[in-house]
Amino acid sequence: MRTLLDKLASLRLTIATLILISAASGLGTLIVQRMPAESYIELYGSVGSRALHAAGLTDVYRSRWFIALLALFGVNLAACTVRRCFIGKPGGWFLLTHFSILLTLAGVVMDLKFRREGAMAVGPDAPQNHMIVDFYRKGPDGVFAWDRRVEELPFQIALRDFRIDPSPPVLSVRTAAGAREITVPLGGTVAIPEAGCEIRLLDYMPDAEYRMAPAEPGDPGAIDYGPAVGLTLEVAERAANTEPARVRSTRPTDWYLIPRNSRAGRFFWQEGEIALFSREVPGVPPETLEKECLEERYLVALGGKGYEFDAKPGETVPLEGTPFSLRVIASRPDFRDPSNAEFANPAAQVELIGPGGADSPRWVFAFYPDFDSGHGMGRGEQGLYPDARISYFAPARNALWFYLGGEKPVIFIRRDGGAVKKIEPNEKDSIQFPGRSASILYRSYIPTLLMKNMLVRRAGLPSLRSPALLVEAEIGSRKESAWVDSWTPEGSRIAGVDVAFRGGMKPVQFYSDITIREPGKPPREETVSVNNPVSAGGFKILQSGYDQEAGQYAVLQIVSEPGVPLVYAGMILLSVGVTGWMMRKALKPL
Amino acid sequence: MIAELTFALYALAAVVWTIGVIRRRDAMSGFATFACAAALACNVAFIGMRWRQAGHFPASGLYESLFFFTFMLTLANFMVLLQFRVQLLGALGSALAAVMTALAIFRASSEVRELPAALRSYWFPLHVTAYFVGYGTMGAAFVSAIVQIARPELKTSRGLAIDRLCYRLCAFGFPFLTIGLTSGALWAKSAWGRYWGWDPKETLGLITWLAYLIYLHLPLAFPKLRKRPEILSAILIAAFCAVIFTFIGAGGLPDSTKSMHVYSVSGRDFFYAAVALTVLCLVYVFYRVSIRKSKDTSKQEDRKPADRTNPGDDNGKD
Repeated sequence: MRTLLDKLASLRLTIATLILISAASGLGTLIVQRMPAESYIELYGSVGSRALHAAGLTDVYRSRWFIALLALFGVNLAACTVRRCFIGKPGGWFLLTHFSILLTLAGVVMDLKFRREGAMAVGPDAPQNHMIVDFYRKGPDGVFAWDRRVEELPFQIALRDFRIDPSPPVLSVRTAAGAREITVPLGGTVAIPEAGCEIRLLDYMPDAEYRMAPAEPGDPGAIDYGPAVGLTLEVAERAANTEPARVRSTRPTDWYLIPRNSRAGRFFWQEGEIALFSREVPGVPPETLEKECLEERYLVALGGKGYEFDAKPGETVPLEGTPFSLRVIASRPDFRDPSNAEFANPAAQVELIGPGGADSPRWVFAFYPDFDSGHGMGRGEQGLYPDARISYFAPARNALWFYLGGEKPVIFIRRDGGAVKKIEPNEKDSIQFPGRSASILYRSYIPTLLMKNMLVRRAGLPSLRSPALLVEAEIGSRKESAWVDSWTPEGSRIAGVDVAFRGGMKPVQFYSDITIREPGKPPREETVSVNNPVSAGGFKILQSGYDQEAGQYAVLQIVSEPGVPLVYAGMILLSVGVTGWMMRKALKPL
Repeated sequence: MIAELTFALYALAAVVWTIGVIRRRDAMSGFATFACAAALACNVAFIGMRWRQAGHFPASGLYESLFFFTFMLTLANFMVLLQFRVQLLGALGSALAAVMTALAIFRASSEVRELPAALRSYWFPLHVTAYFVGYGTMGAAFVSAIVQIARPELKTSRGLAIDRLCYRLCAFGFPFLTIGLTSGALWAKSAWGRYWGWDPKETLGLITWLAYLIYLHLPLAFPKLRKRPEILSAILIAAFCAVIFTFIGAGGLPDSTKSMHVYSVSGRDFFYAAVALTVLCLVYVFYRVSIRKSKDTSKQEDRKPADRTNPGDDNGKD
């Protein structure tokens, strides 16, 4: 028994174990760990890859042999400590150091078994109660691969707000006294004494964009656009890392304008692509619109007039009162795949015949009414009759038509290839047209839409991709303020001072304001930021990332490590123990 | 400008000391010491100015870190230099400082950057300071280890042999490496949700810590090594190469792009330069030692070996 203890407590065994652990760790850094199986094949070949998998070298730190090494080190350390307690006089620092390492190892072993970690993408209006767990597992063929599963959580998280703290912006300020760059703290003021000028930063938008926004009559820069309908697209998008969850995004109201001097707009609503198209339809009575969703129709705009008719492939239709006629060569529901009967991308091939002879055949597309190859669009060359534009209308399975000829709009809708319905909304009616992956909300009709170009906050979560600053310049008795965007190099002129954005405004902290709902407890509001996690249901919730592209969701990391108290205690005691132990050696009097 | 001046003074000190080593005259040693002290003063001034300019603890990014590391290294080396007035010690220490400052000036970006969100933590100054005090001390131990191989008979005025000093330096620096390692783990828990992620730099930090742990335990496990201090010195030299690789060479690892700690600027070539410099020094040192030994054996064959106390003597009781 004593011999066994001596062997287990051997310091030479400690050194051998430590060398092996170091070597294994070195291998783990030289060989990229936990890559997809195909990456190993690419790097090391099929045989090499299999050998690496078999030896556990693709996941060294979780392999059995590595854990066995750690266990051997733990046993050796424990035996050494026990032996020292029985034989000799163990110093306090010695005991503390050895005990702390054992404590840390115990915590690590606990976490190897019981650790849970996942990610949660949570949008402003999509509370979540599960996390996505990516894990690396051994397949039946002995090859490791990444897999993913969904795990339920004992709480629900809703995102109330997401904020970013930016660093101060750097502005270029040009006055009569010259140009200089200044860094202005948010809400702060910087004086430029040589110019007798003060620059203040009143406000900022993390993500700004120019948008046409409704204007009042008399507003400077207001433009009369004629009749318009206000529509909102609601798109259900699948957020990254949220396999079963869908985050619903709502775009702000888009104003779909009806061209002047026309009486109706057609909006094709194509499921999957989520697109609305409008097209000028001069002089078409509302009754004909209903027909249009059920049959193929052609519209030729020529000399300020529109000629609309239906035609079958092979037919040639004369345009009444003109020397022109249109020959329909072919039509197909899907341009790319002629055998597809679904209206995926309906297209027709037509030929315009005029006094100069037949123009070359051209393709026109129902869902892309602005594309007319013969009109010089798409090919970069014009045909014989460049003033003529041809449009093709296919029987859309889902379509919205707006007739704006009167006081009130008339809406025709066809869904999933069914019957055409006619709706006459009142002024304040809001109508939802739901679809499978998107829906359209009709909000309003404005006979005369006044719009102006305004710098507005981009919808979605802030990302600091395109910040804009509200800057006030005071020079003498003159004081003015204006927005300065970050993408116009020349900036803006404010009170005679040229102010341009030059840099800064980088994210320095991220905050997710969340509401946590746990069963049997009142909801609580918390703020998670980098380095400041919150706890719920035995888990730590950490700020991990956010959707920088579309600003749809914040990513939270959810972790449960039951061994953490042991590891924390072990590491703190280790620092104290090693310091006490080693300093005694280092500073020992001679 | 002060950064360049710091580099120039370190390089000047290194050159003057190296000339002294090669010509075996220490007439210029006082000047080299003054140049190195001036470089250290410039280094401190640079850190202070950078701190003021950046508005945060000046050890984020490769540029700031290298100057901080150089300061700690030179400070520790100066402490050793006060004990042993050996030119080789000064030459190696200031050459290493010059290489590090050159890497900062010629390779790393000197742009003052906002501290990333993850670094905005009270753990940052603690973790970084602990590590750099540890690295600086281990740097001094590394230089002392080379000197120990060259001149094993050296003793301080109070009778401490140089091999024991190497061991004591390592024993002094090791707790700082430990605090750096553990504080990093605790910080990682609050920043990334896990205390250990086997990130390449974390792993290299662990390997380095284990290397010094092995060094500290070797004389206990193998008492015969106490009679062969040059082997222990060689291990100390190799361990410091691991420190330098962890610090600036990790960018060359295949997995480094996934690391959250590795500097984006690769200092691999400088790492190789530092290793090549070390190897050259060692070759030179061994050459001189072999010449001296052959002279000693031919002239004084019956001379007894120097009565030295060995590193293990310091820790035999624990």
